[in-house]
Amino acid sequence: MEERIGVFVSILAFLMVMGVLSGIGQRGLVFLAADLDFLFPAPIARRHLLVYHFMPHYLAAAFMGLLYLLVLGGRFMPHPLLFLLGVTLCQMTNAHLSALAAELSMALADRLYRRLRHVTTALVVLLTLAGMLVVIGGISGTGNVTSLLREGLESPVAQVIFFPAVQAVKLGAHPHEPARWAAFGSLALCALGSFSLVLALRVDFVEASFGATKKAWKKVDDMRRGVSKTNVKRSSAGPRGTFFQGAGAVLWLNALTMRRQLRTILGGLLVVMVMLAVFSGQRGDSGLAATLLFVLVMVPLWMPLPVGFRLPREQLLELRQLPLAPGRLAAALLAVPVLVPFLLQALATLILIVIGDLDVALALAVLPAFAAVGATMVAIESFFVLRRPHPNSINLLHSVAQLLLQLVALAPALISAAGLKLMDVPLPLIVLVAALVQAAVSYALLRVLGRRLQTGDVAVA
Amino acid sequence: MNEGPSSPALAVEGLAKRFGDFTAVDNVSFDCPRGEILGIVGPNGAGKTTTLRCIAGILKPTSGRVLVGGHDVIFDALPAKRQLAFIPDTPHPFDMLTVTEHLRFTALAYEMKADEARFDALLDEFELTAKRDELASTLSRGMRQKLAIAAAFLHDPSVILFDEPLTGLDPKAIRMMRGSIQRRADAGATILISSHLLDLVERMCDRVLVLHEGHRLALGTMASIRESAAGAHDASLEEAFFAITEDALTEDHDAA
Repeated sequence: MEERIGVFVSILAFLMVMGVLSGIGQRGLVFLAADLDFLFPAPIARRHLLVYHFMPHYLAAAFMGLLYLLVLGGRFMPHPLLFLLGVTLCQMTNAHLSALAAELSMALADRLYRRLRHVTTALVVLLTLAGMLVVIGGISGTGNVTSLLREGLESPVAQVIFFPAVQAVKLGAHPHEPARWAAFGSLALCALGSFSLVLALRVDFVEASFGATKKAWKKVDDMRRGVSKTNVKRSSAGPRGTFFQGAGAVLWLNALTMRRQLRTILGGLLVVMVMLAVFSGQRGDSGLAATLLFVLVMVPLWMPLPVGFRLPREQLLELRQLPLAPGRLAAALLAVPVLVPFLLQALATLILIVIGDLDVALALAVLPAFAAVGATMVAIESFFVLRRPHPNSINLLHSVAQLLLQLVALAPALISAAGLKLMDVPLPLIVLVAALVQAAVSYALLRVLGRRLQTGDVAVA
Repeated sequence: MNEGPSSPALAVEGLAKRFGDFTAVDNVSFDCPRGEILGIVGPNGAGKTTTLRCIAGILKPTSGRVLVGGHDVIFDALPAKRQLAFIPDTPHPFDMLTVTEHLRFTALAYEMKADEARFDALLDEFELTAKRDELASTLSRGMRQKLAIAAAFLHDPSVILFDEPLTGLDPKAIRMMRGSIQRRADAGATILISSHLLDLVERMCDRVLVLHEGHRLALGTMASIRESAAGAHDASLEEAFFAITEDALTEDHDAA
């Protein structure tokens, strides 16, 4: 129980720090994009705007409380409902503190603010690294960092800094009723007091919030489109040779886009590395098999690359008017989103050969299978993208249907492999044959995809 | 089918496009000779953009056909598309390409030689030289429009389709764009302009096609449209437009 309480305090404290840092980073309050046009020009008092701003945060706070209670094991607390109340009040306080940090940042001179940003950026990096170490340590059983963090949080200074987090957990876990009442009172005071402070600071947040809101929603839009921040000093001189003429131009476009999206690729690489680190902690064949399965299936599914068919509807339409043969256009579009995960898979395989005793013959047979499976995965995803290019929301039904179809498309290769296994064929040969079958499936999908790209009514929303 | 000496640069025959139960374009036919500027006007939902997209080969017609230089845009798509350019009302350039790279990409896709002098001339014509190394995602709406038009002009298309070409442009750019369109027409390109700006259509176009709820209501020169619709040579296109579309609305109402 003590250990779980420590984890809860750590998470709440982490969220508190991240909230304050994000407030400083935003340097304004973030509203809905539509609020800029409809709410800001309306004759609404400052305090009402602030209440309106906090409403969704309060709902999120209650949701977070429920999440703690049901998913993270808060129901095993001695007083789960009080714990829910505590987490909600703590998160409300966090929202106020975040807004307070944003308001104070607005009041700072630009030069001073820039210096503060450098410090907060370094803190975010450190906290993220610490978070990752905790996760890895927790999964692999080497919890040195976790215990170190917990000890740090138990220090008197941390108890004061993270007072709401400590009180929230106390509310749900303390054995004595008066202490729980005291914790509730403190938390309510924290929430009310922090809100009063936000109200009391006479910072005109409207102008800053206008910019902060625009910036925040642009970021969301960019993330949705898989576009990350990039600086280009000089245009590319362009590729040489006839290979990049015609449909090859799309290949160049995607390669250039990827070169400018290194953050996304590095993110992918990081996930592969973390998962490898987690799985390599497990000894025996099951760990290796799990790693292979992850690398084989999850990476191509996960990579949110802004290339291939993952384009806005209008750009897909603009590609249609180019004088390019449908099959070649589809192949050129798929090449990079298949190739990039494949390179990550190849890297992971190499690591497994070095650290995990993976048989080299098997690894060589597995590599073409990775490419073939990746092509099938991306091709099927592309059919769904063509149906709903860049949807504003995630459609669960679509996602499930896509996943099911992707699994079904693997069936011919799996059945062939199972048949060969029954005939006692060596494993590398089985994998190679399965890769060939999968490549045939991918080719057939590519042909259909090309036709669909040219003739489907993508234009109609 | 090949282009004969007398065949029109663009021929639209019985074009229809349906989306499920909704008919966006219904049996529209017309053709355009080389060097003509044809204006397409009509109220919102008249089928102007769908017509242009069908001509560009972006949408597959439900029935009918479109011939560009004698080539069917669906069944003989590549030669037809090599002669076409379509500039949408809101261009969406690739976020991760710079202005120059868009021209490079277009040149590669149309299998042209990367001609730096030609790039420079187009960038200069559309006042994009200072922005040549900037990512498209950083451009203003007007700049994006100019970039789309510059890229569309790169391969010297013989049929150019404009959907609301002046949206987002400042007065100076509008004047420059009108001159640019006129120069292409004088050089023999066939231009189709879909626009709500009747003043622009009246000033620039040789003929006008009036669409209403997917149907062709009128097609002819300015003079013939004015004459037949408003009954007077000196009526403006605006008066003629309202006379034609309001007649159609009255007929629809009576039929209902």
